[in-house]
Amino acid sequence: MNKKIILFGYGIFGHSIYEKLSELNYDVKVKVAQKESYKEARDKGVDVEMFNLYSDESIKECGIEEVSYVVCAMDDNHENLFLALSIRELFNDVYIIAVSNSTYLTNKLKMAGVNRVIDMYHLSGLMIKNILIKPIASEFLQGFINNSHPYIFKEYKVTKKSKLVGKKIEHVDFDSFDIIFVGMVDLEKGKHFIFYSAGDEHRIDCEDTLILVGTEENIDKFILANGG
Amino acid sequence: MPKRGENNTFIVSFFLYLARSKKYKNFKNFFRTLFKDNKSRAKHFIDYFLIFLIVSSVAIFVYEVENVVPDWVDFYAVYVTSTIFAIEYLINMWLYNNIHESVLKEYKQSQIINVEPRYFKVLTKAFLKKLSYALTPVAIIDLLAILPAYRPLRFLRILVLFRFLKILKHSDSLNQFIDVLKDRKFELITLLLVFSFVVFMGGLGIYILEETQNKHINSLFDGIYWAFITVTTVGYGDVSPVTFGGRIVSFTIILIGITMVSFATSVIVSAFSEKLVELKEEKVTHILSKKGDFLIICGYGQLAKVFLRRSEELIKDDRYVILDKNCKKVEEATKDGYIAFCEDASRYDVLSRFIRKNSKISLLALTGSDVENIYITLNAKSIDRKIRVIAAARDKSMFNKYKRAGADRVTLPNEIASSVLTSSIAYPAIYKAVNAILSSKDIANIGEYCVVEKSSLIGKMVRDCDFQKHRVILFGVKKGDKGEFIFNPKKDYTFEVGDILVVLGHVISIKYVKRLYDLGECS
Repeated sequence: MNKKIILFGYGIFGHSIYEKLSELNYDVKVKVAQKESYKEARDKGVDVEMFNLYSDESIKECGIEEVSYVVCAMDDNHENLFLALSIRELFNDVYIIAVSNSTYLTNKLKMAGVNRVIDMYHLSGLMIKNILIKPIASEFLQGFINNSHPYIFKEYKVTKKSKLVGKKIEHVDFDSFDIIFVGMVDLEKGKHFIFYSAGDEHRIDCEDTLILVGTEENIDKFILANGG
Repeated sequence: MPKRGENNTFIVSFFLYLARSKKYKNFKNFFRTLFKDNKSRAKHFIDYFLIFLIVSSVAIFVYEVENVVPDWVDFYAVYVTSTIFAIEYLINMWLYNNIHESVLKEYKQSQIINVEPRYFKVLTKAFLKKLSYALTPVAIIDLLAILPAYRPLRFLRILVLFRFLKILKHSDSLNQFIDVLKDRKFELITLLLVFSFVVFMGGLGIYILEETQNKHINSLFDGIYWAFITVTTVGYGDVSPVTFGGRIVSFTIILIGITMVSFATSVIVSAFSEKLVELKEEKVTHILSKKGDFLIICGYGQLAKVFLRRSEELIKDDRYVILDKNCKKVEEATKDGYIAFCEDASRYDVLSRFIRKNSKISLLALTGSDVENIYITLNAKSIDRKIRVIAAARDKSMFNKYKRAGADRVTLPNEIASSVLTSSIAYPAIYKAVNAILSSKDIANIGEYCVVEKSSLIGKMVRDCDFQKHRVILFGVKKGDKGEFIFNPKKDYTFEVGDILVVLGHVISIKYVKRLYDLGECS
């Protein structure tokens, strides 16, 4: 899978999404429908182009077939929904992710064929609930989002040369590196993520993905010590 | 040279003693709380006790009409209850006004202008004010409720009915009903006057027209009786018009009667609907007066709606209130079944109505505007710094302003959404993990528990605990509310009272571990 992404919209969400994806070295092409947004993005040095929301030809010319993800993040709910519907109509296989700022819009976006909808209020509502009933745990969780503490969630895809291959999870030393094993994608059992708490036995194979929590430095040390 | 009035030292000294005496002040405040403070739990107990005395004594009086009761029961119904009611009557009179304050005020004023104090006049005025209490409807009812104790006058027993009227004083619902009627005093009095006029005119008309021809109408009273029964649409049928003129009078007063009954109903119903908001607020105030957590949600937008839908366990005891200055949104919230008021939470007087020192208040600033949310945050903190404010910021650049305003926690919905979206692209497995943890799914429940005094974890090291065996991840330990957070504590870390454990695991595992180590909830 390549790291090319098309981001539609450079407003409330688009701006922040662009920054975060760029930090992770994704090749993000921004498409906007309004001149003001175009000017704003261009002034910030963003790779931006204008497109006509109401023209299928214009959407086709965006180069959607070449990318792994399309992100619909236009500020106007109606435009965002129309865009998602048009893209799905034109490109059957592309993976569409859309941002929603209304519960009703979330359902409509799913109906329009969006693969993953990020519901802003759903997430924030859960966050506020957690703050009220589990203030410390929620602060810890929020720290992963706003980097207010040094700990991160990190995926480690086990390589062929890794010393972990063939080992049972119980026998892996995470403590010496001050990191926590949260769960894994055990290909032997499928492509889904399994929490450690599920109680399943896991033997680590090549291409399995471990989810670890700790400081980036400690996780990197762990990966290095186990063969990279 | 001695000042004027200094000769009357006894009375002034006595009242000065009362005014300065903390004991007397506390003593009087104690009774004021017991009898006058509607927010006090003690007053509720007193009310229930007095209602019990009223109901039981009336029941005994009614039973006594045809039956013989033991002497002690009679003694209780007559003397015990009446004595308690008499004490209550005197206490209420004592609490009605402070005589010593009036006298001391006069004394101080006379000292300033150097004239002879008019104690007699002031005392008379103060005593008359106290006596004026006796003329209030409440006091008259109280007095009449005591009278049945006077046995030589047996007929006074009928006054036992007044004991039921006493219930009005102690029942919130009945008081509220009376308040509603009071609010519509003008309309109801007008209606009563029109009603009396129509009844009188109708009665007079039928009397003049049918006195000689209708065997049931022999006096003006019969005519008025017939008119009353007809106007109120009761119509017993024992008296009915027999002449053409009498029937015309009937038509007229029936039409007026129906109109008046409808008018009276609409006046009372509209008064009730107007009072409804006040009654709802009284309910909230009553809940607030009880100890415990209380949630104030400012703004009923998308975020508040999602939060409320996801937090049923937090609002199940009605320990919350929604405030929004947009009345349409409040209407929507009410239709959705929530307790909401059309009020501006950024106003000091509004917010302070919903804040009580004995409740642990959390405030959610969830209006759509950062300016308004910051104002509400500052408003809440200016009322009581202990209020926990959680705000949702629309703009990331506002974060520091919220913090400066005193917000305890600030969430950035836009940032959360973009971070989660980014992680769903870059780290799909992490996205699933975080999403499951945030949603508190059974398999990924994050818990927060306190090491309490009875906990068996005290003095144990991490290595001695079976977290791993029960598939529970110990993310970290916080040393008390304001202490540091120790991520992934080392094997030799020893647990102490006050430690707060942040754990992750299946909901069953977490509950099991909580029970195993006698951990407490952190509230």
